[in-house]
Amino acid sequence: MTSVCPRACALLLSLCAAVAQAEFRVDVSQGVEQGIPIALVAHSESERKLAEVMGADLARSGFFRVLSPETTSQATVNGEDLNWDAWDGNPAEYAVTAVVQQLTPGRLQLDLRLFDLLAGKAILARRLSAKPQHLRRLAHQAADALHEQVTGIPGAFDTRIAYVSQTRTSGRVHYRLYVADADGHGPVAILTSPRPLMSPVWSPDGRHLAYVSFEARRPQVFLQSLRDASRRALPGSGRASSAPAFSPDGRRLALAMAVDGDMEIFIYALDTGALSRFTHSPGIDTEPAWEADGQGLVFTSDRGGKPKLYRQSLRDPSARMLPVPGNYTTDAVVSADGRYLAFVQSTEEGGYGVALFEPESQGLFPLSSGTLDEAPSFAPNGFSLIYASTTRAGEQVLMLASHNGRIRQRLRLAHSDVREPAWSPYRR
Amino acid sequence: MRRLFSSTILPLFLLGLSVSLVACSVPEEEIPSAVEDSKILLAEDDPDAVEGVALDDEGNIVMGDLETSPGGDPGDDAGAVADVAGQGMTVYFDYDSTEVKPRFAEIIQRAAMHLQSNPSGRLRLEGHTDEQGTRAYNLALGERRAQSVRDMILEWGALAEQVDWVSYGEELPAVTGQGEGVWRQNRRVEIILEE
Repeated sequence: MTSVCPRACALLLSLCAAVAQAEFRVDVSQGVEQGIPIALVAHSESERKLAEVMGADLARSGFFRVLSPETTSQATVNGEDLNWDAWDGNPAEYAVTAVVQQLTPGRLQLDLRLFDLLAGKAILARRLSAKPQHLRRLAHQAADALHEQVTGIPGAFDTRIAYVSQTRTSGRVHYRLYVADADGHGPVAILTSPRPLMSPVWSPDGRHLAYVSFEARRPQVFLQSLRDASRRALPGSGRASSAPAFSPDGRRLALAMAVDGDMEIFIYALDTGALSRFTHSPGIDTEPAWEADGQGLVFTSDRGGKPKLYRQSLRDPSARMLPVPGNYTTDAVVSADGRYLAFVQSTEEGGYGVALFEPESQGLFPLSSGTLDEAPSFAPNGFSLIYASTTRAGEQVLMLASHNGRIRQRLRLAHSDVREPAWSPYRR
Repeated sequence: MRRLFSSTILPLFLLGLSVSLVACSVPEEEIPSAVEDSKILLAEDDPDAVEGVALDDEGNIVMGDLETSPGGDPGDDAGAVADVAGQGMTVYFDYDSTEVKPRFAEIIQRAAMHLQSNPSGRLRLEGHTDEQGTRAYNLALGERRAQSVRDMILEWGALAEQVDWVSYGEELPAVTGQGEGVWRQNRRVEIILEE
């Protein structure tokens, strides 16, 4: 980690620019060192629960240092406005009140207020509501609003992740495709299969998942609706297809298909069913990732002898190798704003880690260095990542990492391996 | 390059051998002279052959070689290297490589001979990788490994419709765990007889 720091700091410099454009000026150098200190006020049981979820969200983003919740009644006046005198000398720069009321049996109301303790005034007041069973979602939405108000960057807490689990019970193996909240809560298995599942990706509207299933004893790309669970194998996906990737407009799917024993990348038009071949190399071409403007793809190819990342435009069939060092650089994904690429690289220690590449500055920022870290996926705001990791004991887990790699949270399932995470787009 | 080697040069090399010869410990770069000297190499320069193991170019023990006797090594996936009349046979690969090593040529030839003498016979090739690297890339790697074996079987005269193939990438390891000792047993193409 220490060797990562200088380069990680370079990444943070570019983050400073984004933060500097925020409505409220933030002391980023301090934020980089320790996070912005923020205190959440919680009086009732439901408010404590809410503060716990909000606080975990904010802390995980890497931007905030969340102080222990203020539970004393002196912190506020009437539970809403701050009792400013009581906050004298408090290390927090921001304070949050979140008052929960159940107005009807079917409706929770949340009044969220954010106070700038240095400026001495409220800078956000928002009313949110949800069904009582959706208290956690209410907390995520509140954390999103707080994150955006303080950093200028929208939060991505009220989003979801998809991932694959493998469970072995009494000699039988089950593979499941799960959808859960972005913090890992509330997992729902949307598909269970006795044969492997791979490579889930979200459609840009968040309504479908594409993934690879071996249910027909060969890898095939499927599309599944989250609303009604209807699913179909992609027509024309051939003998073996894999590595699906939705175009940013959601109208096309890039995927790898076997041609004479080689994987080549094709583009499938979801509306017309037209299939066009994108790569023509004698080596492996796979793991396509759309650039943010939908005009080109980054992909893995071993045409040069080693698996490396290449970039190719939809209009010009010549591919260029990305200027990323290393003998093994694969599985790129592009952040929604196009600013960063995350990918997997072999490490000097003989393992595999996740790294970020910023095309504009040509900056390279190692984010992790594990034995087998893989499958990075960006949060829709581009400032958090989830990836798969294998522990020293061989357990497969998911890692939630902040933009700077400083904050990491491990998600694990008892008695199951988890892998292939995919972060959803924003909810619509 | 790799395809050219495995599909063209290797069968030519094999034609110069009687079927009973085993080129198990001949490093690939010595193939031209090995054609003449393979008998001597087998008898004198391959002490490991007695113990039923073979070494790859880096000196690692290779599981599932032709001489490997079932039960000879507890870590050996011995059942997978039975003859073609049994359940199946396995070809093993180096890291990130799709090149079929000469020592596995006889397995492949036997599979092809079986198909030639049984026109209704069918084989399925399952390409696998170790867990190193990313999953979709490994799926592509397994596909190429299966294709390398298929090319050689067809060059021995089997019909294309007799040989189906699929890649499972790293999804179905033969052995679970980590480390080279495990990984080398997972980098494989299984040749499976279909009834």
